[in-house]
Amino acid sequence: MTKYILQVEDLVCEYRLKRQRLFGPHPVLRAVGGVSLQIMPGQSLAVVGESGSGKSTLARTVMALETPTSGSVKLNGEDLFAMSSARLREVRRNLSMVFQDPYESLDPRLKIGVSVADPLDALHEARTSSERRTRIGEALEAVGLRAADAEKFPHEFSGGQRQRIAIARALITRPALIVADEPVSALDVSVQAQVLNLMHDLRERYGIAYLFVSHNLAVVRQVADEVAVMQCGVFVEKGKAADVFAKPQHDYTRKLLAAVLKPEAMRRAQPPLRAIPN
Amino acid sequence: MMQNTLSVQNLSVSLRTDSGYVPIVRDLSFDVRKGAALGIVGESGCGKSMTALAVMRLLPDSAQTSGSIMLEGNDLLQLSEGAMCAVRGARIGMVFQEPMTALNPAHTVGKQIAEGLRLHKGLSSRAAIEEAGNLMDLVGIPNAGARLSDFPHQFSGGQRQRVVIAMALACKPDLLVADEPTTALDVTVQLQILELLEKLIADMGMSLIVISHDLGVIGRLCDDVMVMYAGQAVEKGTVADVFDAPSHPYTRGLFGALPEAQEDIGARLYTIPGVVPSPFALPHGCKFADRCGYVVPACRDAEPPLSPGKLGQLARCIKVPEVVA
Repeated sequence: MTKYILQVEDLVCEYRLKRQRLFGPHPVLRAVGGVSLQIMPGQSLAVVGESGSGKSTLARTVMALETPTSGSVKLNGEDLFAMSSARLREVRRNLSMVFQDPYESLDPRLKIGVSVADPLDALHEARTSSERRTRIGEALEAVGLRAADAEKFPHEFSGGQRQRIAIARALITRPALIVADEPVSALDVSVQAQVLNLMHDLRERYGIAYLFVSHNLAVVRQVADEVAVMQCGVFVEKGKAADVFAKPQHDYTRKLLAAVLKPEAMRRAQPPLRAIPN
Repeated sequence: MMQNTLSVQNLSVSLRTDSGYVPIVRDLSFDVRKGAALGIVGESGCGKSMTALAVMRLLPDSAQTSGSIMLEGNDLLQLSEGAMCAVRGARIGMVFQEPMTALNPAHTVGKQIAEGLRLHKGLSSRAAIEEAGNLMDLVGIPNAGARLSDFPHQFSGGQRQRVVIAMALACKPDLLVADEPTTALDVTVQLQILELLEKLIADMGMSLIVISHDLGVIGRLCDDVMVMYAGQAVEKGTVADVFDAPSHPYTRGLFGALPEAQEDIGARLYTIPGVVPSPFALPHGCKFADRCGYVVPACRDAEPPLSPGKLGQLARCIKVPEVVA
């Protein structure tokens, strides 16, 4: 029994590109070039890098949506790519994903209850329809929506609410690990804060581990215990979030930190904002 | 007297719907100083993009507009459609959020940049293409001359936004309107685009309106800022004043929600409770009252006027002394 929930070892993902001449060789694009990481239960790791750094390929491979060229991805000590497809299906209940765009990740023609219950149905987890209904209600309430919202359609919700629905769908199988690929990049600042706080709370309440992918170092501050900075398919720096923010070692990390637009004047402490009296 | 490139007075925009006209922008007044940058900030649905479209006179036919929009002394709302066509692109340039949809995938970027030059400046095709090459060089696309005949898909996201900026700058407009110019981009690319815009407005003496929900972008690029909520300005002033002592509870909430502004790692962010009120059912009195921690019964009696904030700014709030205390 291993103590890590997720263990990625020396992962390499290559894509064969179109050959450039009729009999020429296929050029190979190395999207992920030998990446290793470990996540303990209830911990969160943020992978930060620019477009094209391979961070989404890494996330998709961890979800077993892509097959790596070499290396292994172990969930609770079991290699995802060495197991039978039936077993993979079974262990998938421990793995969920939240995508970037809540407008595209929900089917506009399905009531959100149906979308949220999709992972449950795919895994044949709910034995009775009342159990199914209860689980949908629980998932929606866990993200701050109402059980009755299951009967509504996606267009009746704002962008932030839709991202909550996507998170509810990820929660419904009670996973041990959620892979979130840019979960707040498409959201307004105030809604982004709500979703980041929600992810923070869910971790404290359910002990869920996160693999959080983002291009913005600022947003990972709220959710990450560890930060890995990815460039051209490899980690150039990895460490405790506090260390990476306080003492960045690699030039690329410093460049990413410099790109964070910190409103200068906000360095001056503001009086605490008063909450709404109940 | 300080010269204004654009002066908007009492602008109101309503949209016709099945249940009558709904107010989208309400009694909005603001100035863009010559050579200065104004930031308009607010959540989705607060009317900031509609304000930009109103300035460009690009609102849908179902919109009803009143007030005045003076560009260098001419009221754009009084111009004929033909005259307005000569203003758009030539005197006001526009940069949109999504560079992929702003460019036509079926035409080369050279042709697209040259289009405005031929239309507004009457340049020949050859001269326009040559000028397009200079513009691509100006916005920092390497090997510009050779890339004129490339199509938009051959450019990266940041380069596409540079091409869109080149198009907007082609006729050396007096005013550039940038609606969420960097929202679709990576942070490092965002910084490059902001630096480019900064340099261009300094070099060309252009005025700029930047619309964004990100206070970080506004703080970096702008001299003045207007915070919009429910179609109205709730706080306006210089960036120095507003960022130093935000005086409206909504502005304070926006700062609190910004991860970039937090010092502590792993701290909870402040979130503004509730949602923006629907324009179909605006509350009586202060539109922010339902989401505000400083609310008193008087807030719901009448809409507060813009009154002095802590520093030089104006804030639409009757509790400013408590908000900034």
